Amino acid sequence: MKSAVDSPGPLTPDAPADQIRSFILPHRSYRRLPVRGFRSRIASTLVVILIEVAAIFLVTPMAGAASRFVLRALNGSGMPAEAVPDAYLGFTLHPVLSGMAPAAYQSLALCLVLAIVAIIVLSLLRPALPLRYFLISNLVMVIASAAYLIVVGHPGYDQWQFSRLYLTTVVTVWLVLPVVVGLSCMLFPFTTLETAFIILIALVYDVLLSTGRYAIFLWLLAKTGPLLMPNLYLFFGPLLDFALVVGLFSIALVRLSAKLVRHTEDWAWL
Amino acid sequence: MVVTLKIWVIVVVIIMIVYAVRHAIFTLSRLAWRQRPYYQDIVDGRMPSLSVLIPMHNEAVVASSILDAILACDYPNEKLEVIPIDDHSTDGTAAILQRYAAAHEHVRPLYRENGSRGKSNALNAGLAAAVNDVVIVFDADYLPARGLLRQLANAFVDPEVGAVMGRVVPFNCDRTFLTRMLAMERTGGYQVDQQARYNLDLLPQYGGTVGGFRRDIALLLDGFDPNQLAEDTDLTFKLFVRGWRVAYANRAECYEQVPESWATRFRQLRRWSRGHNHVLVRHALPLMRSEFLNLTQKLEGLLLLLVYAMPLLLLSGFAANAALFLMGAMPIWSAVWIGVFVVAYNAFGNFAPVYEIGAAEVLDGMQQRIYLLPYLFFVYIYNTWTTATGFIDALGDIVRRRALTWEKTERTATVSS
Amino acid sequence: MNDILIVAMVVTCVLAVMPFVPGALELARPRDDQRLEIEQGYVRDPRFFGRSFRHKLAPAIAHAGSALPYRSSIQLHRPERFEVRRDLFVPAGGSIGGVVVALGDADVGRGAKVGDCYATGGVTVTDRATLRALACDGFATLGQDVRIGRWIDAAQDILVGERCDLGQSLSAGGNVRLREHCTFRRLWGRPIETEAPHAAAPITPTIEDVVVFGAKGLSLPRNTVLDQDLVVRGALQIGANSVIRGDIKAHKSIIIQPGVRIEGNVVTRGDLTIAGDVEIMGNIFSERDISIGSRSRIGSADAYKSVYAAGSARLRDRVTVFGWIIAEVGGSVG
Repeated sequence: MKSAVDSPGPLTPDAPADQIRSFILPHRSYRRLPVRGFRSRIASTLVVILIEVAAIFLVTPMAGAASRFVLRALNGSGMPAEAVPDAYLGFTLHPVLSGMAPAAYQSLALCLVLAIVAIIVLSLLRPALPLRYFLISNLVMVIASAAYLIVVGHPGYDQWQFSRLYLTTVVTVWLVLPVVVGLSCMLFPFTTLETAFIILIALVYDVLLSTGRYAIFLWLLAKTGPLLMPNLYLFFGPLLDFALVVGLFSIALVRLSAKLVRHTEDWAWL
Repeated sequence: MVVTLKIWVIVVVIIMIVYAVRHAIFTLSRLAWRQRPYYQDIVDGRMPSLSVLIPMHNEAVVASSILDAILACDYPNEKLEVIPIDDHSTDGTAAILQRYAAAHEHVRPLYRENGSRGKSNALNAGLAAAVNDVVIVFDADYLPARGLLRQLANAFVDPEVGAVMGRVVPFNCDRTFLTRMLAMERTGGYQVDQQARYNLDLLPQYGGTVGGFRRDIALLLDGFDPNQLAEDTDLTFKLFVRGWRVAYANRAECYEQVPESWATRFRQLRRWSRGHNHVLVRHALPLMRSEFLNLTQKLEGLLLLLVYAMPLLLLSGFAANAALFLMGAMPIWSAVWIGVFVVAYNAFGNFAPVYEIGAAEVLDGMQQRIYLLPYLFFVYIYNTWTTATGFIDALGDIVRRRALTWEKTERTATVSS
Repeated sequence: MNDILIVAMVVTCVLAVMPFVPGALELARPRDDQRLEIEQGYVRDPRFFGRSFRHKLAPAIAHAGSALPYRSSIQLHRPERFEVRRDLFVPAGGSIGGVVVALGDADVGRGAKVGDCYATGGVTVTDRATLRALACDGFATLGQDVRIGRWIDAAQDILVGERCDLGQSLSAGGNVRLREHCTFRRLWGRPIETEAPHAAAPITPTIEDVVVFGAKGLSLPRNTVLDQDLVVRGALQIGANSVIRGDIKAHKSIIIQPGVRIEGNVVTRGDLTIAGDVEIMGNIFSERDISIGSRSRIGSADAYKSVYAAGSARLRDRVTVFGWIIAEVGGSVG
């Protein structure tokens, strides 16, 4: 329903009848979002499916490009590395095989002690609790990892297995992301174009981030050994991807909210 | 051992998916489906008689504000009694109440100096003293609007309604990072979560303040259990199990004060978690056996009861996943799902996951604050650890049969108009 | 470390941090940290529009003084032409825009168009006229096919002709009489009465002469007397000439047969069909549609009530409602 309040200039009696009718804005508790038309929803669904299909087709080249980039980065830094073909979900991936520093008993013990000390220091310094808990969670993981390595003597995943795990994880995220982001977009009155744009941005963003992260992870493992492997994967792996998707989505929501505030006639009620 | 851990991870992931789907449905319901109207538009020439209870312990800073606000409410004085309950105060609260009692006939304070302290005990004393049909409860630091009492009282035109809950809106949301985050959580929890539960005829919660209930029902249910920290959740489930309903009044908004420091918030959340888990133990079976609830309502009730137990489950799932990783036996899908759903899931009472909060902020017409959504990630980690401690407290209470002591949330600002 | 690795590190860190940047900026320089605005003075007032309008005009009217006609501008939602006259007469087909105040009576001719109008006397609006908003301190009489864009409020009675479109709100300090085929969203009057002699009676199915309780709901026979509240988790039918001395709630539709008297509130999650000659002393609330049959009566002179339909409301002939009627989707007479 168009709002006469938004019409330019004062109302005149000879204005079209629609301008005489006005819309009196109800309270926010009555609001809901405008329901998109059937065609629009179908179009968005098709777009999501299209992007998902494209992602499925492009997964192999994207993963391949990521592997090649990591190879160049590691080889160029003097670390021998090679891409080894591997099958996953019917795709051929090329996880990077490179070196990993050995886990010396003394350094593990030192790291374990330092992690404990760091927890104590954090408890004394008392930074903001969310940050403190996040840091402590990471330190607890370091302690667990160090203890395991000391007791068992070798990590559960070697470098190759970790590399494979990481690559297959990000590939899974790339496959899942269009659907998850698409479903989230369809809760809101984004246009088909906006939905496509948000999904594509999120996907491209994640591909770039995952590629760079891959290189950093393997470089860190080569330099520091397996101690940080759980932290890298569990705290800075898929968890980070989700936080990023939320961040990108929040930017889209701000724009949507601004549009709705400007055009109150677009609201639906009850 | 590996098999056990994997099974445990599967269980946790399934439960998290259930919660994530639940909240997705809530978001969809609130955003796009038909909304269930509340009774705020009713104008009635004969309103029910109201007793307004305001438990107070050392509330000299805020007592006058709330009393002034209630006295300014658009509710006929002859149908209203205001019962501020001075609960073992050691500051000037009593003197303030005496002044108001002297000036207003329908303000009838209670002064508790004997017996145990605590909100439940104070409310029971208030219930015993109240004479009217409907009881409305406010915490002392709230600031009701002029029409709020009518809006809440309107719910009782419905004979099935045993209690009503309004929407709390943080007053001090601009103070710290924490208050901004809490304001977002409240927004999601009320504007989307509670309203969706009301839409879907599930179990909206009575929250213990900015809400009310029928006095005769409360007395029938033996009032408030002093051994319950979450007396509001306890009442909610008592009502639902016996066939009553809680109405949610999204239009009935009231300012509240949220904690400004993480330490205060820690104590508050830990107490809520502890209390809620006591309610879980008490009501899980009666809920499932209730003949007044359908299967969906029972399942939703169970999910609601479990919200403060979930963080420990989540941590254990994460730990199991980490153990599997260390052993080189972690399945990929579990990492992906835990990564995705650890912030997608968040159902601690009034809290809400990211997409619910985003949806709620859009509904409220907010803009730049939506940029803060990614920061909820850190808050969720904090919430998870904090509520887990509350769960452990509750476990300890049950095992050691500990008596509960009531603790008031520290006030740092005054809600004023 | 080679350049590629350095670039990878930098880009990764930037990408990892970037989604947090807008939030960080918002935290550092808040633009949207204010509390949600709650109108602390808000109360539900069925005559809000009229009262608010009069309040806004009062200073401008006082400023006009006695030198009439007075022309100026006034800021409402936006600047409007503002005029004060002694009496207002708008000829047939004429038009006046902006806000016009008549310090006396107002007469709006056939097919005329008027913006916002306030008359301190009575108002007569002839057939097919269109007004954006109307407040008057006397009686208001609307002819046939009159269209009100926003609201109308009269301090005394309002008589409404056939096929009038009553906009968002009609409120009167006295009574309201509506003729057939009028449409509305909100009505307030003490009472509101309809005249729709051609209105068909709502169809109410005949029911058994015994209590029937089944999977679909409850059916009470005629002449039932109940001294309790009644909650039915299904549909409810109340037989003719029954008396219910309590509140009623049904999760599905409610059908009330002729001659029933209910001394409490009626709440339903479904449709509500009220036959003729029904008396309900309490409020009526339906999450769907309401139909009120001929000669039925809601509320009383000393206890006004509300009729709320989240869907539509239909009022038949000689319906009397003391208080408020709200039909979110729209209401009609006849």
